[in-house]
Amino acid sequence: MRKHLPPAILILLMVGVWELFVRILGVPVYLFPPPSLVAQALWENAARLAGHFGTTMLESVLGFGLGSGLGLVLATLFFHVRAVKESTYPIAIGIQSTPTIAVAPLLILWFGNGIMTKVVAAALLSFFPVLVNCMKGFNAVPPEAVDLFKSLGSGKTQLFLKLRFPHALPYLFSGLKVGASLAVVGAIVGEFTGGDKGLGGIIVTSGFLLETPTMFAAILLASLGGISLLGVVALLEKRVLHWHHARD
Amino acid sequence: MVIHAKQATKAFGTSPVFDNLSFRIKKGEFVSIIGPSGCGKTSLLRMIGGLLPPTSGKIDVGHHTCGFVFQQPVLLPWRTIQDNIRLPKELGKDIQAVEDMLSLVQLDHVKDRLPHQLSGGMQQRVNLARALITKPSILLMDEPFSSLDEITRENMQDELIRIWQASKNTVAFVTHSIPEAVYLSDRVFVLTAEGMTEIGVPLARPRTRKMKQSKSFHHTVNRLQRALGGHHA
Ligand SMILES: Nc1ncnc2c1ncn2[C@@H]1O[C@H](COP(=O)(O)OP(=O)(O)O)[C@@H](O)[C@H]1O
Ligand SMILES: [Mg+2]
Repeated sequence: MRKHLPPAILILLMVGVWELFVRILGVPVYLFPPPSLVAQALWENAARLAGHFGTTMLESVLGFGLGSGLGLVLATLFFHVRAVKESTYPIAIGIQSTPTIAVAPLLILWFGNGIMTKVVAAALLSFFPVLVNCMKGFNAVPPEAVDLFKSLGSGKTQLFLKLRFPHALPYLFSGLKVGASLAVVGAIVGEFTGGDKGLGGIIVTSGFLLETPTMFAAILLASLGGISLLGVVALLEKRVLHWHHARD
Repeated sequence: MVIHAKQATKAFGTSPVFDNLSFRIKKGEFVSIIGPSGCGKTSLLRMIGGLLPPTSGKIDVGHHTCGFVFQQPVLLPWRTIQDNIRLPKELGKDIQAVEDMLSLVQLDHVKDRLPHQLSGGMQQRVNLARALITKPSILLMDEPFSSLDEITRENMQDELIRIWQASKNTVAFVTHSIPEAVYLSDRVFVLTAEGMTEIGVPLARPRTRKMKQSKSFHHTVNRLQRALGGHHA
């Protein structure tokens, strides 16, 4: 509790200063609404915003699951089959280096204007950190541990399941935490490009209509969504890696 | 004969590690291997244990099984002590009772703890118990006590002798410490870039700490120092 007090105070302070400044300087509401108006927009549109929040979160979670699953499977495959790694890894890097916003219209062409495009965009962003961290983890196993397993007659499958995979878990979770935040980014980028659903849709529409308080409310919810998803993964990490955290 | 090396040669790529090593180790013998860093001690143990193929020649251990004790404890940090000791069973080995191993290395009271909750000496005892639980006829130990403080180290040496005398397995023990090699061993192999020489230890069994003050102890230590020559062990 004590740990959360300083940031809470700071945030309250910033909100207060923001409210004061905007009012004193007479900044137009459509440019920079005071927090009170944002809160009002949040309140008045609560039901609508909640629906869109749900949509964005669903897309993010599905995309995150798909992307991190793919990252894990690819990392396992890359680790065991050199040829696959050498042929496929450059493509993965290529996908990673291409801005999602640049391919979003293409995704709409392929997957339509529905949820699928957003899920794929979220997956595209979240798979790479999982892939990279997993590979790092698989390779970080000390050679003496591999010797131990071999001297005990371990086969490749046991070596992977009982040594490499658990050893890579802390790395995997680092990747998952980055991937979780990026999944929300991917979903919202997908929503920007097509349709009026989700927080991305609200942000675009309210921009057109100069309903800036609503836009701020949606942005706030988007960041809340990202934080929650990250929080869930961090919580899971704490439970799974109790042996790892206890060490430091 | 338990271990029989016939002109074993090892090179990594074009850089040779050792050439034409031939030696025999009898059943129940305790042999130490000593030599400067990088002379190939670890490689030799891995070759005896079948983890590293020789470039030419061979090291024959017949039907005997090998257990490794590494320099680092190599415990799986997510498993409790007893689950670490039980690992060989999960990998398909026949094992003795885990409880017996725990009491052999005097760790019953910490069996449900995680490795990071144990001291270095205790972790090394788990390492030993995990190797012993498969009843290996050959125990291959790679500088197992080198990261321990002096007092723990001396206690571990006595414990090892006790365990070895009870189990009567054959031990190949790599160390950097000349006194340790003399105190523990029947014979000491000195491995240098020039090749291998061996020196017998004329101390009776069972060994006692008092022997470390004896004339023949110091005499053997001196002989080993000369055999190592300019090479710093
Ligand atoms: N897997 C390996 N690949 C290439 N070189 C190795 C490998 N293992 C050991 N070496 C080299 O072989 C030499 C002997 O190593 P090692 O057996 O570990 O020596 P020691 O245990 O006596 O210090 C060193 O020069 C080391 O760099
Ligand atoms: Mg070594």
